[in-house]
Amino acid sequence: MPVTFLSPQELSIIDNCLILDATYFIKGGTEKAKERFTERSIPHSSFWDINSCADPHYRLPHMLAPEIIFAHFLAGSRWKNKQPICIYDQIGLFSAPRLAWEFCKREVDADIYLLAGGLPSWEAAGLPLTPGSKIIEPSTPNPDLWWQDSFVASYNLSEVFDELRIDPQHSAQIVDARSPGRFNGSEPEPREGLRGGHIPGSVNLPFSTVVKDGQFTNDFNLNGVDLSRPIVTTCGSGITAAGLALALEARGAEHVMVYDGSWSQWGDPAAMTPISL
Amino acid sequence: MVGQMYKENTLAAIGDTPLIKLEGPSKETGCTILGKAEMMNPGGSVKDRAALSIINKAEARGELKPNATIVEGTAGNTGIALAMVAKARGYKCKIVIPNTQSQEKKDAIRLYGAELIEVPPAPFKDPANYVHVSRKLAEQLNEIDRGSALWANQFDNTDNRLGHYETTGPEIWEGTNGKLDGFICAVGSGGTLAGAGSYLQERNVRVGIVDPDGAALYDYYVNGELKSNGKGSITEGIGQGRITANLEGFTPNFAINLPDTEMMRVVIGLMETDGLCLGGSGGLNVAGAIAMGKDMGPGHTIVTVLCDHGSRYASKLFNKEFLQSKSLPIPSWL
Repeated sequence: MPVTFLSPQELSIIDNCLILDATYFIKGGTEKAKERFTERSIPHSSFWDINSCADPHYRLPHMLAPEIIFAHFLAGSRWKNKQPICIYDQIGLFSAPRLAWEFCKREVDADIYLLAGGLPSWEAAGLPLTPGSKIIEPSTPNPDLWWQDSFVASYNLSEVFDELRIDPQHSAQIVDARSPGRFNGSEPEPREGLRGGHIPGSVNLPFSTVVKDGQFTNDFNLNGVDLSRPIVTTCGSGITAAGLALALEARGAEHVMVYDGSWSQWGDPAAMTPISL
Repeated sequence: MVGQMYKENTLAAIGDTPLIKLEGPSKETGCTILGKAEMMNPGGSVKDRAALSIINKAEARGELKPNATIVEGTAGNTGIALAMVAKARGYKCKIVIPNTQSQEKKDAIRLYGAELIEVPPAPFKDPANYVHVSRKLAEQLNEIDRGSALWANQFDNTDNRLGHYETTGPEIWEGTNGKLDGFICAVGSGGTLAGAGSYLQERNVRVGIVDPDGAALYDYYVNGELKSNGKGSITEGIGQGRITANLEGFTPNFAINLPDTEMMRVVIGLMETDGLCLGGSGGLNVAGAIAMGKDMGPGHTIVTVLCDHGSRYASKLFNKEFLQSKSLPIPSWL
């Protein structure tokens, strides 16, 4: 089911909604986000740590968790079957779409909402803030609410690499959500040690261009991306790639995968992957 | 012999197993994940190497008379391997086994002509434990007639580890042309990990241990304390609670603990992507290699051990009711 945006006012009057702070800072990660959450948060919200609910074996941040870990986190959130879920972040609209995307792809049986403009917009609306106290810890899942489907909406490095070997007419379009400067290697990557540039043949569609007034807009420039063909989105670490995926789907794209490792993985010198500038 | 294309005898076919690239795990990690195909040994498992090394070296030391009896307490592949080597070398074989072991396992060992001695189960601390019973049996036989019995003692007989140092390690090194970044496997006796692992560590390969739930080594290597996490595992032949003589002096560079859900995901996945059917320990080993690959990042070459074939575990690993009772993933074709 698609993700809908709620205004702060709309969220403030919803009864019985699971509200999640899914903040991740590029500098500071989720540790800094948790600290800020305990200082100020939307009343009744809980903190969902996307670095904890992740695959523990990667050195890369927030790689998609095996279902069982996700099921434990969902149980720890005390989500009740079919309870609506609204996700926000402290930045505005950055990491919250990534969690919303994950909830949608895992087919959690609930309406999934994003708070337009996140915490800044809640605050600007003059709505109350409280110190956050609920940090979600994994807990034993209820077997009736757990499922065992495989999660297929993400691509790994080998799958992205395979796309490069297919002719341009038939391969998936690789769409990069990073800024133009990072895309062409003229701006440094925020994470140390990565090479500059982009995946050969990929198209730049900066995430900032698909956001307007704290939510997805429909009139961003597609830069030649064909919505009727398969798409793989990528970015710095897989966060805005998920947001871009949601924005493209809202605009009618049907086959959108997210390259989970994104540039943190592809740009690693040890990966020995091809790069264009 | 130069130019000879056949193996001289059954035991000459032990070892020199192929390294197989595992496509599913390799794609998942962006690494080259290779499995050493120990299920292709004539006895069907990696234990063939331990059995051969233990018996060969005892012979070389003059400890074995012709017609001697090989004695061991084991329920699994070691019993089968010892029975096979004994037969090929003209020795007798007595295997002491807990009577609670499955009929399949008892039959598999008896199939090779070993004499099976069943005893009631007892904890390791109790002298009635099957391992101690097997030791005493060998001692008694040697008292009557010195050199008439060998207690194989796979856990603390370092001929086990030495065999892997001499064969498994070099085979892996040469098989990857020295372009090897990681080696990882689980521990039962510790022979494979410490033997092959120390050979490879000498060549700067990163060596890891993957522990199933309930074993104590993960905690030992990470926190310094032999401590089980209290959960259980359906894997057989791996999971150790003490530092065996084979493990002494060896320290892995990397340690992880993986649950049975991950082991089963990999066992099922390998059948789907690679057509490869492994037992639980092989599945856990490959899961460990995947975790190591994720940690090291793409572009690395990692080797693990495919201990034995899944057919040896049909009644558990590939039994729908059993898997359901343990809340484990089930292959879709069962």
